[in-house]
Amino acid sequence: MSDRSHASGGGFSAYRITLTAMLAGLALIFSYIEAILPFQPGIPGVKLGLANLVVLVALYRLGPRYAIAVNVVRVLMAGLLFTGLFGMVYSMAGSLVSFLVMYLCFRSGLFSVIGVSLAGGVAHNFGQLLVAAFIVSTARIFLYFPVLLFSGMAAGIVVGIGAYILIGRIPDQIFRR
Amino acid sequence: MFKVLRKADIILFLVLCLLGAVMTVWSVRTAAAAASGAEVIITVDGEEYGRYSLDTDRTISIDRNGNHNRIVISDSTVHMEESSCKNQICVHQGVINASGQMIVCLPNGVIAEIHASDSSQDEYDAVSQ
Repeated sequence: MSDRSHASGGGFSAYRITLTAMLAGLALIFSYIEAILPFQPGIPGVKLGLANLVVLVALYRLGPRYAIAVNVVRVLMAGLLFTGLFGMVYSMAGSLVSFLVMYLCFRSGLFSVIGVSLAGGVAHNFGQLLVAAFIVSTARIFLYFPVLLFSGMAAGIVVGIGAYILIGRIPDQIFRR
Repeated sequence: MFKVLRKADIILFLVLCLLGAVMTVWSVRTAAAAASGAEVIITVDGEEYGRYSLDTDRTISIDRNGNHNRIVISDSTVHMEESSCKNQICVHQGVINASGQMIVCLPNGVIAEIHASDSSQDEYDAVSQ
């Protein structure tokens, strides 16, 4: 994993912080685009998670610290702008669980981007379901888990393929400064 | 440098597929455990609000905590007619008619679940932990 060498270590440089902020903005736009797409699956909780594309690129090319910053900023901004504080709790739970799982998969070095994204997609839905079960205080909501599991897998694979292409193509000099 | 797919990816994929298949069987069984004599149980914030038979058409209005929800039972199906919540997912979900299915309005904390009226249903609370 030659990518990791320049990703970790060293302090936050102004350039990288700016880049992270731009990536967070990009992720936010992706969330927005996804929300206004004319074709919605119509099943609660089922979505593509385009924003994860940006998080994956940040994870592989900038490092975990920057990736989680992109993630958290994106969720906070999307919460304030679109979903409201209540929706923010769900997104935050989903994205933090997802990020943790993706980070561990990434660190293990066993998985490709697609595997990492697949695990992240499923973990995201699982995290949200946990919060939902907690808030409505019924375990029976887990009957819904198979739907979320398979949709999380599908979304994870699609986003993973996209991230694989992007990570390979974005020129190195953008990140190396 | 990195490959498109690695062995661990395939294993993860297969494990998740297997898990999904098992969960699907479990949830379909649970839902099909009792299909007749069903009733709708409405809970608000985790507390039971009321039970209504699926056989009688009716409209249930819920006004709690400044939120409004209107649930309609007609022809043995249930749907959320109106909700004051922002995302309207519950309204767009459409009709449910089988035991175990539910309409959840998370922002307002309202759940309408179809439930068989016989007592055997109580068992799976323990199963689902």
